[in-house]
Amino acid sequence: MSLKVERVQGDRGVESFYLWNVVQGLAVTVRHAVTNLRAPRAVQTTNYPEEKKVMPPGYRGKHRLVPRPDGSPKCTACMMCATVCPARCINIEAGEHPDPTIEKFPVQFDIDLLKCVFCGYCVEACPVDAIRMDSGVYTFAEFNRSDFVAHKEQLLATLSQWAEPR
Amino acid sequence: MALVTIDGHTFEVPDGENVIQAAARIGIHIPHYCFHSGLPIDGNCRMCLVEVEGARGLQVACNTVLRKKVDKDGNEIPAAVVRQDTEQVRQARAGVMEFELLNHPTDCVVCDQAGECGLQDYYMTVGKYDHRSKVPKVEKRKAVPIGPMVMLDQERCILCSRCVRFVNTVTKTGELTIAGRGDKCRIEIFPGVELDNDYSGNVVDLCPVGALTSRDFRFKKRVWFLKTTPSICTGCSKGCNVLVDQDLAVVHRYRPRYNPHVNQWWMCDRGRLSYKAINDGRLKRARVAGDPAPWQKAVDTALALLRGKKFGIVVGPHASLEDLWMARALGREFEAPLWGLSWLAPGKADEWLMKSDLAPDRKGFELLGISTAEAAFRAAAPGLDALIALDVDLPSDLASGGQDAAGALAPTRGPALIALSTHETETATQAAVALPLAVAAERFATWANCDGRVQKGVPAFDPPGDALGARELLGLLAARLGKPVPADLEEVWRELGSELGITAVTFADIPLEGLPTATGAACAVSEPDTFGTGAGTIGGLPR
Repeated sequence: MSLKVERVQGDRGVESFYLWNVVQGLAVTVRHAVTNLRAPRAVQTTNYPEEKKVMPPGYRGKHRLVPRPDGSPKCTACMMCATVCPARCINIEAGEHPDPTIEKFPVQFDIDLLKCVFCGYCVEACPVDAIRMDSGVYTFAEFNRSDFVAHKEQLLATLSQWAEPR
Repeated sequence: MALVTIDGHTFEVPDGENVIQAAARIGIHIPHYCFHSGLPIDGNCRMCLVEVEGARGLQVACNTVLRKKVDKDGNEIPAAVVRQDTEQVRQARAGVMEFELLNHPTDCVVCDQAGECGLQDYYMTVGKYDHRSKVPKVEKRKAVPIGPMVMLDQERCILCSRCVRFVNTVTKTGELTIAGRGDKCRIEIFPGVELDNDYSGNVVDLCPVGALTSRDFRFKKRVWFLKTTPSICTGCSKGCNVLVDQDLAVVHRYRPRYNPHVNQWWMCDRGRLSYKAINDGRLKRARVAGDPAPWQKAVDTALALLRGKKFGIVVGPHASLEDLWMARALGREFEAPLWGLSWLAPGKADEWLMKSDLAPDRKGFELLGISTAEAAFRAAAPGLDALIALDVDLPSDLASGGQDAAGALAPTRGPALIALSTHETETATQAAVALPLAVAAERFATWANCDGRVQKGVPAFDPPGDALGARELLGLLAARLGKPVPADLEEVWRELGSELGITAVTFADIPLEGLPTATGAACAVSEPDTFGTGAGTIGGLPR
């Protein structure tokens, strides 16, 4: 089988300067500038650092650990999330819980946000709904690489972007 | 030999084997919990039910023992005609599974056994029913430390009694029993007794479920992360065969590997915990005069100390046979005297697997004719310019170069010390040059145990930092000193093997259970009594 190559004729001569197109584009810019100046309240953009966007449900933001009523993590350190994690960014150290009815709990629970690919598999794998990605936090900025490792306390303190867990 | 027919295949098995063992010979796995080849038959779990021609109802495969059978004309006929692939057997297994799991807490999520659990495996292969019981599950004691090695969870137990039979018939210490009746039945430890015999860790391997778990391994790693390689325990001169379980080059546990000639299915607790030496206290970078130095610089310094000088070599009994052979070849090439010595304190010994000599390869000195005369070494050492200490921690008076322990290293007054060391020992710290070595679990190598059995290990992972195998490192030193000695594993093994009387075998051909050498037994192998005779008796209970 052979492919027939068709040569497409491009703009030529005066048209190839795109002067008229530039004018058209500028017209759009000027139109928006005039409209926004006349009615600043109706502007479609967000005043970003001051105003934060609420992410849609299902958006996978920074992880958080769901607490029990007493504030300790629900996590049982079963390592399902660490097992399923394709980036192997979850590091859990399990320990004996002082409460005899709880077999084990995470002494340490670290997520390396630089390694994380935000696939959400950890949330899917968790058998006790102890890890969620519903914080809506999508901006991470730190001065050190080590600060990108989120520790247990930090993950517990992170709240859902919705007041009521859905 | 007896004939047996399983699922239409007729074949021969040794007299006295049961149907589970016979089926395993042709690759058929008959599900079972309570049966273990190293323990007397109990037949209580009922998991191994099979159809046996001529028998009324289903029979337990573990207690269907096969013996030679002849018909009235004297022709040999199958001792049993067994079917295990029928609908009746499948239903029976699913039914037994339902009973086993009736009061099981199903806390797999937090259970250390998850991933290597008999209940999980058989539920997926022969179970897969819906739990029908509406009665609340019976609650028992959980997380009971019953000894230094073992944690007991009574709820998870399926009462197969493997652990009870182990302490009754193998160690004969009888700490465990089954107490209570009906659904209150549970594994209990006798009051005032701890499960702290020297082989208590084996009950963890024996337990097919998560009822007995290791306190040392508890919560350290989920088992599906672990990669397993066969190696040799270097905890003592018995050289028990082990499986090294590691993840990301960190060893998490040893498990015994079956070898009928050495340790059968078992290993001692001291050896079981000796894996920690692989992870901790390792020498990872080279040192020159006690300070960390680039490996290349350290090698150059060592070569400068050796080139044209009169040097000696002292090797320790942790070095493999190949390393010893290499050290001897180096010694012959450079006319350097060679001694095989160690200053290890003797450890606890018994008449079974634990030996007082805590080094895995002392027999190698004898096999390769390496001098073990300490007095001769002490007399000759001060006259040497340099001394290579291969995998041996010298006593402090020698390590400091012939001076007192506090004295600085002075090559002019004693031999300059070149330590090739696996760990951060006193010798490595004091030596003029210290080069890191790989340990047994990181090497293709062989060790000769106290019975003269040559056993090989397979590397579980790469050595840490700049560490190299001793054979490779000695080969490199010899080549750089201008007299190359073949250091390739197979080349060394060809000569080593023929010297040990093991010919026509390449290193790759050495079976994992090892090969005997012609030296005879130096340490007597005394096995526990024949299994099956003392079942149920409690002997030697500490009272």
